[in-house]
Amino acid sequence: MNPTQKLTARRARVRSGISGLSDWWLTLPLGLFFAIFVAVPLLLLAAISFHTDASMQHWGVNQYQRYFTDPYNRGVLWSTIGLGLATTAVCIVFGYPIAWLYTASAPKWRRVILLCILMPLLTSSVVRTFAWVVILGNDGLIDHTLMALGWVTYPVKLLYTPSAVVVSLAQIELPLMILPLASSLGAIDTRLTEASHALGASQWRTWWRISMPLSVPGLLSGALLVFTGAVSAFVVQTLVGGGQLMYMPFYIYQQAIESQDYPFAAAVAMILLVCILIMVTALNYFGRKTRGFIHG
Amino acid sequence: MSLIDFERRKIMQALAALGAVSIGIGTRTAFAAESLAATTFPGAWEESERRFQLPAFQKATGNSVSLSASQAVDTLTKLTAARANPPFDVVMMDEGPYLRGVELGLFETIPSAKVPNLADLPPKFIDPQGLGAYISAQIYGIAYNTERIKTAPTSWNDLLKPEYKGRVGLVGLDSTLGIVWMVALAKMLGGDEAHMDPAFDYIRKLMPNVGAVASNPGALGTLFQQGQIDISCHYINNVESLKVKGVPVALSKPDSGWGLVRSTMNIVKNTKLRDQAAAYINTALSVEVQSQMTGSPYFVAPTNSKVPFGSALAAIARSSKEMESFVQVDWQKLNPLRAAYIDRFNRLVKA
Repeated sequence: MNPTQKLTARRARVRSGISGLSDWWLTLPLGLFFAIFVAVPLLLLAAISFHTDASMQHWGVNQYQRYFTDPYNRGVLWSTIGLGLATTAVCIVFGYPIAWLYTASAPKWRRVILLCILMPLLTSSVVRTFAWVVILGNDGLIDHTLMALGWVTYPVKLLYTPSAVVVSLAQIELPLMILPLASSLGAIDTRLTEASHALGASQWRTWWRISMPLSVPGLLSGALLVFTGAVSAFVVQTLVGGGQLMYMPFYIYQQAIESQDYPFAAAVAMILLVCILIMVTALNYFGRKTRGFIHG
Repeated sequence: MSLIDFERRKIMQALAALGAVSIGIGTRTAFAAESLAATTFPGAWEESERRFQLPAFQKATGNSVSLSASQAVDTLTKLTAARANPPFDVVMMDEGPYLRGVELGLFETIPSAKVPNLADLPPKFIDPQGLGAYISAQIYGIAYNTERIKTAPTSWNDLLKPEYKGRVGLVGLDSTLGIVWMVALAKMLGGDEAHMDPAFDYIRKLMPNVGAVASNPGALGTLFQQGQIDISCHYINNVESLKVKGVPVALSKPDSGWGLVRSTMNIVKNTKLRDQAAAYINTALSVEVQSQMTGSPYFVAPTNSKVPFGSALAAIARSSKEMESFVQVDWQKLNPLRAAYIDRFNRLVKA
């Protein structure tokens, strides 16, 4: 093979995109890491959940039966999913306008807005959670203000309520909604909206028919990140929610570590995992559907 | 773009996890050769141990210690997971997890010849089989906000008074404080570890007064600070450390008696540093270390009968002998029933 032939052959390989088996080896370290530290433990977890007794001697599905036949347990699952949905909704309502503002601003302002969006991510979520405890407490900022204004005479209970958990989670997860939204809004060809205006559509109609559908992929990936983050936010759920509001992550911890009932805790963990997977699959399905709708 | 963001997040998470794992590996291998691996509880406990216990041990033996902060239940899990090659040589435990550890055969007999300070402990503060020694005690009583509650409460029944509507704090039964308090209530009302109905009835009656249920004892302190609650059961050392921060709280004695929660130290089976572990326990039982721990802001009650009860502790008892009469829990009886009690409490306090 002369040098020219070699070069042509290499070019052909690069163009075809398959440069032999060798590239696959690059994924081996991560693949192994994933297999040992994620896949195997997950399988172990599933295996533990299919034991009927805490000492793990007998196999069976009765942990799942025990979970779903008890209204208290079902309630914990529903309130966790409800928390995820509510947080996602709040993040969409607050995040969409900010993402819109970001894409509509001049580059100079974009940098400032981006900094404001990212700022919360620079503080640890434990610190932010404690800040919420201080804000929402009976001696906190909100109750003090309400009492100073004379609107209430006795502090309103804000901390340890479901809405407190939703609000603080939404604040903590908001950047994860805004960033994908802003990138998908920014990717929309501006000529499309101009054409819409030129053809006589109003601002709202243009948004509803053109921009909004085109931003759905960003909205969905944002929703995915916020939802999974919210349902598994152990720290916020326990610190802002307290001992009377039970969500799945604390339930898992309590049953495994304090009650030492590993099979039941493993079953609760599997149920949470499956629920999250269902949500993710549903969102991905909608994502594909909207893409098809946009292009087709 | 959005996909890239998503992938980047996943990669970051993987890297963070890898980092966490390598830190874990690093600390153990770096110290495994010569220093003793010990555990303590997080927070003020760790702080006080680093300040008094470690220097005293180093002075006595010339050896260094790699100290990890770990809750007793977590320590138990770690020891069960690696029996043949335990991650720690000597551990600090709460009574409940310690007895579970004894059942699981996780501990080694303390060589009393190597721990001369054991002689100064009241016999009740040493494991009957010699598998552990109580190194300290925490006392709990009625904590209350002195600005909002002018007359000191004198009984757990005072919490039921209508004037405390929405002002009482509870803590979950998954914490040691929560469960021992429930047993104390049951005993006050004629029950015991196996007959907790009176305590659950009490909680049911108390619910209209409950302002918040903390998920751990540490959160109770925050709730007092935030004015979310004005009265609850709490440990003396937490109350004293709140006082230092300027929070108007005090601890008062319930007529049914002060409550007592003890901590043990145990030598882990299969340790390669058995003698050092014994020396470590000896240091923890010494008059020197225990009297330092009684001071501000830790207020850990000593178990060595030669250590005087100083400062805030003087108001509670004169010596460790007197503590024997405080309300205690039979963990042997309680442990097998605890999961069911946790479950029952969850449902009772559900919002």
